[in-house]
Amino acid sequence: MNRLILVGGPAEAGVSTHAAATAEALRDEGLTVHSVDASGTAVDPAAAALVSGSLGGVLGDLGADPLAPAAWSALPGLPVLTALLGVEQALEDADAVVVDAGGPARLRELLELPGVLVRLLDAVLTPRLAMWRNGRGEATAFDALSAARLRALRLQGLLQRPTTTVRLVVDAEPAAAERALRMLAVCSLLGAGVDGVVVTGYPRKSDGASRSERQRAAEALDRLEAGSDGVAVWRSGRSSRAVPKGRSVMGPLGRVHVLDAEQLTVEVGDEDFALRLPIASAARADARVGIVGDQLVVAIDDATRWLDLPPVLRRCLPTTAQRTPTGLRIRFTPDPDSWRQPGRVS
Amino acid sequence: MSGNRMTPWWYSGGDEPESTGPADGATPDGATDDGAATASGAGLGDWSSLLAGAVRMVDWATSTVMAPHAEHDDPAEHPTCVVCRTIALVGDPTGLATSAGEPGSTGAAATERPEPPVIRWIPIEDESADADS
Repeated sequence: MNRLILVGGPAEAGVSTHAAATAEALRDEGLTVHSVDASGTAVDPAAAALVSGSLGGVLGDLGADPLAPAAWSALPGLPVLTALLGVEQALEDADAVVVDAGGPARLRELLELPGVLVRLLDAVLTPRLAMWRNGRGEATAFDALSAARLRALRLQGLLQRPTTTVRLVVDAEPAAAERALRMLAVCSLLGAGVDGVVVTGYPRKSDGASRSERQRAAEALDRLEAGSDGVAVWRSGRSSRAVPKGRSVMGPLGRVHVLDAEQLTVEVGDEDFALRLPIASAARADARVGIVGDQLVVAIDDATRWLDLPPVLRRCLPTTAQRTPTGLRIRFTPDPDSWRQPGRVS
Repeated sequence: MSGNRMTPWWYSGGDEPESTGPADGATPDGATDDGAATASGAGLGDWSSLLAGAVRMVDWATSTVMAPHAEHDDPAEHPTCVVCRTIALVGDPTGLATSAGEPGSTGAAATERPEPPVIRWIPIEDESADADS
């Protein structure tokens, strides 16, 4: 399976430079590498044509007036979709694809958009829409939106597969280190594992850096190493180092911190159940968790992850959650309306 | 057992051929001695007239209720229509009361939008001594 590496971090931290260095290091290993710039707002005309053809076709069948493909280009989210479609295409014939994911907001959009589209289309694809026919007696709207949902699922799968990782680029400042750890927590929440944090512009005495600059940089490095849950952290000076010394750029670089929906474990107690959720330590203190229908919602800052509850917990009521050294443990008690013997687990 | 010519109270008889009276062994109300309806004579005439009446009722309902309702897209706009009033009263969980060709039409399903689901946040406690045991 080919490799997908998303490089992101605060502005001015050297994200584009590090993405280019990573791609170059991969090429040096003899691999076919494609680079995708997802940091900007440019919309590929092909993506606009795709949207105008599929979504525009659906709206046209519903009676909307047709729009030129260019008229779709300002649609919010389209630049992100453009980038994701570019990544999907690039992965078809490359050993590795390196994505310049830009700042924290764009990185989060890239990771969240496919899931948002899937949930949106799930809500739209109702039995009523399935029975609807256009003037030619065809179920075009249902077919087109079903195909769009499958494509969004494929994009989501690309971002959450084991060979996809995120590398964060951060300035050698304590405050920047805190922001990077927050990004690490958000990425792992959204299912994209972070396998490396590179501290760029690390000051050296030989470069004329002052003592206070070096102290702040050392403090930033300490914070990152303490809060990154074992993810590789390395320094990069004037020349951007793609990976720590002695490591392969294909990685992963060591431990990958990720909330994997397939790895959720349910503990069975005498009277109740407990679900363990791994949460990155940087966000463990203020992560939120909730229930809506049969789904568990986990939120860190503005990012939310929607997870299907394990079947047994769909007939239970959540009671409370506890912070643990690895994340959260949520307790569930059997729903008396769904269980024959309320409160007893056999 | 009487040999008198008798007709049920509901029988108009105007469009029926002249009756010959109840068949042998039939009671005045059209039942045989053993309680079963006869398959001929006055009993058959009674059932035929019942059937004809039922068919007329169906025809009347079709022409005066169902045919006009077929033109109604939004039950809320037709309070005098029996079918629309029923749909408005009991709701339309299938969403099929409106025209299937108009998903965006302002039918009962569209006007009665369900509330969006609300996330129920779970209270989080600080770690206890046995929390991760």
